[in-house]
Amino acid sequence: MVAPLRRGSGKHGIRRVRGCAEVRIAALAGPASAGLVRGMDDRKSPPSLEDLADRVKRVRGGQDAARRKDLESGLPSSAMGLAFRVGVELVAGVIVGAAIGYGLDQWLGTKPWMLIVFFFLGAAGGMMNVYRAATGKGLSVGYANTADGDGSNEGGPKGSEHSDGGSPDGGKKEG
Amino acid sequence: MASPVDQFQIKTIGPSLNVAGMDISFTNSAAFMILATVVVGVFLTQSMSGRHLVPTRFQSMAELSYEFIANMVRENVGSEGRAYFPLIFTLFMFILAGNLLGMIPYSYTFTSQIIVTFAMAITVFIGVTIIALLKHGTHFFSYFLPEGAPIVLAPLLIVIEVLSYLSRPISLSVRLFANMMAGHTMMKVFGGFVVALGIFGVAPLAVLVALTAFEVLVAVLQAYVFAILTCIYLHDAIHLH
Repeated sequence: MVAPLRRGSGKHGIRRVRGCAEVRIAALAGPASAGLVRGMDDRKSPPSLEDLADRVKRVRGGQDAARRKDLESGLPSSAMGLAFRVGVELVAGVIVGAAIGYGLDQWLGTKPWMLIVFFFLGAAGGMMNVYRAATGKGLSVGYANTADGDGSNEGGPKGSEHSDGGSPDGGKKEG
Repeated sequence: MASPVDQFQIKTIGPSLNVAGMDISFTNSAAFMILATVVVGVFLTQSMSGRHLVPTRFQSMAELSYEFIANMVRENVGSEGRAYFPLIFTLFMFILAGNLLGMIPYSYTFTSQIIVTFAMAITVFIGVTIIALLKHGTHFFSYFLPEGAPIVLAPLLIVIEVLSYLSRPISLSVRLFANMMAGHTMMKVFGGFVVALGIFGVAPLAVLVALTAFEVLVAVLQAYVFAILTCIYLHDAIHLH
């Protein structure tokens, strides 16, 4: 698809046909493809389609990662939104803990003890959620390795990279 | 004057039905849920029926809402999330329609009821858990032990993590319910001030105008938050980090 385009049209033709992302890629790619875009240098072989796809992917991945970071860390990004979220998370943890404790008490007949224990455990769980929300660790349970912007690439062959840098069972998780 | 919380009263419409000790009468809440479904269905089918190459206003709105959710799913769940697009789109449109219909005077806001939002949240929660179990099998349970934590702490940490996982449907439903209920109560309270203060009611009326605009924002925002949290939970279930 690239070759006929290149032969048929000059600089402006290419720009018109391709989208803006591709123009940016052409600008990124350096002198070799700058010659290609100008349509003057026919001796150099054009970059392969895989190469191009690779570069498109890189640019898109970067954009998505940036956008994703905005989305995830700041659901409602206002101070009031954050305050409301924190409040809800805290209350939810306590409610779940107290409910489970109460249920266990009814079941096991250990009247106040399970309620007391699970009340505090639930509060701890709520705190954990608040901590995760506030530090931008995301909303997931467990410790996500956020150094590489978890989940910024969209599955696919790269999917296994994002999940963890160091853990030995990284491959297993995706499989 | 009516109390500010009278608006949340459930009223039966038509005969009261009892099945096996359960009251299943048709209520104003149910009526507005059906209305919301009908409004969304008519909006989407009618606006897209023209299939204009250059979209009309309504077609443009329908396409925008579709693309908005499609992008949200792609960015937050990834390409595997495409299968769950219908669920998230349905949830978003249903909640959005419910919230916005609730902004019409004399209407009923069914999203201001905890049981409605909780039903949706628990559906999402159970569904997401089943997806994670199907995709990862027993490996799913490693989710609850943070990597690199000392094994001595495991009993405590696992309980806390399980509780914080279980609190998801609560926080998801309470967030929507509390926002809608608080907002609508506040509007009624200020409305009461306007009536009670006579000529000085202009001041709370000004507040009420701003509050109404804010409530419309909250209505859309909370539908968005519900949808995006569903996406994030789905992402966790599929990728498990």
